[in-house]
Amino acid sequence: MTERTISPATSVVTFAVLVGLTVLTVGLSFLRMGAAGHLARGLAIGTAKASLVALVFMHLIRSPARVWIAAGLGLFWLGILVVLILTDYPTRSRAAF
Amino acid sequence: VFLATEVLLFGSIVSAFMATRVFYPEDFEQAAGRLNILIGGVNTIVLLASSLTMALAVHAAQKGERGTVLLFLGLALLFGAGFLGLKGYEYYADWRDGIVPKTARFDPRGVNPDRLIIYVMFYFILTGLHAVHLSIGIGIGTWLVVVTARGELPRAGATVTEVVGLYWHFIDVVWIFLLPVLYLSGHHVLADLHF
Repeated sequence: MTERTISPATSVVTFAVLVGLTVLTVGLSFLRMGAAGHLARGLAIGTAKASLVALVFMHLIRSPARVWIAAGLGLFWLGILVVLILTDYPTRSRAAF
Repeated sequence: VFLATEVLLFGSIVSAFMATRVFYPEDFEQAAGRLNILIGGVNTIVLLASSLTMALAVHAAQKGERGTVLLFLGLALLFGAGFLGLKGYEYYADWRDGIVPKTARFDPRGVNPDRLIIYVMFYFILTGLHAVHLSIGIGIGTWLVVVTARGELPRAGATVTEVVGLYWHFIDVVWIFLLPVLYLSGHHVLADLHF
């Protein structure tokens, strides 16, 4: 179990970076960049934040390969779900309103 | 495996939201711009703080320091409850400003009110489901505090604390994605910045 330990100092630094990214992403939402730009920028920063939480707080970075495989499979299934839904829906007729 | 099913639960609703957003990008952008970004942003930091203290509790549990585990677990639960409190206030503010399903009576600025209602429905379903998960996390965390204080768990509860921590961080990750998908996908103006 000790090999999975993340030092408290690393956790605190990670938290500081996460807060910085949150302030940045909220601040950028006040700039005019169009709906797609806002979403792309927000998701990019969100992905970076989620990766930090998974790697450090969930100590993925110190985990054995099988944990990486399990986490990767979760992302893989999510990817199938999102990609298929987003390619299917736009090809269908719009709702009545 | 449990967390993977949770990923698919939230993932499917967010995907449905995104698919609907493809149909009505302008309407959804307008609606997203009306959400309370100040409370949303502050709450993000509160939840991140709870994740930090949970990570510190897991670290202390691995070292067998029971007192420190209890301290950081208590702080994590406090931040979690703080998030729910702020979220509850935000719901009240949404209701006050008309950002509720059925009516969505906030200034539509020339967009279709029916589509705003769809957006608001997604907002309440996603944030509500997240709040339910966090409430469950607080419940499990409270149980963990009790059994750790009683010394009922072996090795200062290192394994159990770690599993509870993983669930807790997962809830944090869900919120990290809800923030850009719901709040940040619209243009906000400084004049709307209020509690």
